[in-house]
Amino acid sequence: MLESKKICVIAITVALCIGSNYALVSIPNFKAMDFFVFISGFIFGSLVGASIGILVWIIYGVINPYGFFLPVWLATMFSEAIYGFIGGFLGKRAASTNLNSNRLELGVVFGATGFFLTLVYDLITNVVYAWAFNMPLIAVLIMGIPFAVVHELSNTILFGACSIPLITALEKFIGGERFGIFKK
Amino acid sequence: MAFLKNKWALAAIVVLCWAIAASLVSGYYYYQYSDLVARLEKSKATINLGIDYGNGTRVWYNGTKGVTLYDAMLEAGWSIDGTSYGVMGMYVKAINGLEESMSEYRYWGWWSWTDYGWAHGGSACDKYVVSPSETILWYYSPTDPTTFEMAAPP
Repeated sequence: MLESKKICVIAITVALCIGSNYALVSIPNFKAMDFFVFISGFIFGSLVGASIGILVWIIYGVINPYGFFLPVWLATMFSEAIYGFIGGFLGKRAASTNLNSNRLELGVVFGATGFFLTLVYDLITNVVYAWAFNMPLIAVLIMGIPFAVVHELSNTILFGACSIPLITALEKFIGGERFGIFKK
Repeated sequence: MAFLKNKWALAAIVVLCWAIAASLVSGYYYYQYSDLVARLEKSKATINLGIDYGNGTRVWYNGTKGVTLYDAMLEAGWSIDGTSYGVMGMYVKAINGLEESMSEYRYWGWWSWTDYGWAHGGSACDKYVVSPSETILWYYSPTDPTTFEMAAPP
């Protein structure tokens, strides 16, 4: 992909993530951002995906309705980048896979990926939160479970149900690093 | 992604996700339950609990702990027979095998010791939250057949 087009995609996706985050701010732990970052990585590669994850948190983390705290901000930034990185990794692995003939199977894989990535994200951010505020780790992890479960289940559904339609639409529209998958 | 063809691998992934989510939820509720039990344990009051069988036998169980009077009675090891009336609470019919008697007009009632003497308990035993060092006596009270007023313990 052309560099200018890539930069344009990054900027638009970052704006989309931030906009959707502010729109969904009243619903705790339900965010479309993770999904967009993952899909960006899947289509445009790990570097672009991870960059989008970091850039989103640079802005959303500083101008955040829930407040700003440096260690938590850095943790969320790093954790969000994992979505893009793993998205890119999975995109390469799935390069030879026909999305349309394996919809159900890939839906399960994407859903499970969303679940485990969110589990890792919640674990990292909760550990850093406990460390930063000098709170007992076990208590923080346990009290965070209801929020984590909502986050994980919403991401599982979002990743599982929406990944293939969005990947198909985006690749038809703008192409991507794994554009070759549509060649039969 | 050759494993996409393996349905068992996909099923295993789904079950694993479900198991993790279920474990997290059950872990959370177990913690909440343990925490609640620990808090309730701390909030138990120590009272002086007694029972008067109405025949001159009065036994005291000092230092009995409980959140409600009913808890304390169970803690004391009493055998209680009663009927629960929902939000109204439990009506006690028999304690330690001694049943109320409609023909003799004798019923079980609980009394709390005050500066002015014995005061009749105003609520069901399982609805009454005891205070530390309170003195409570269950009395097999003779009851007035016309007014149904219970006689206070001697």
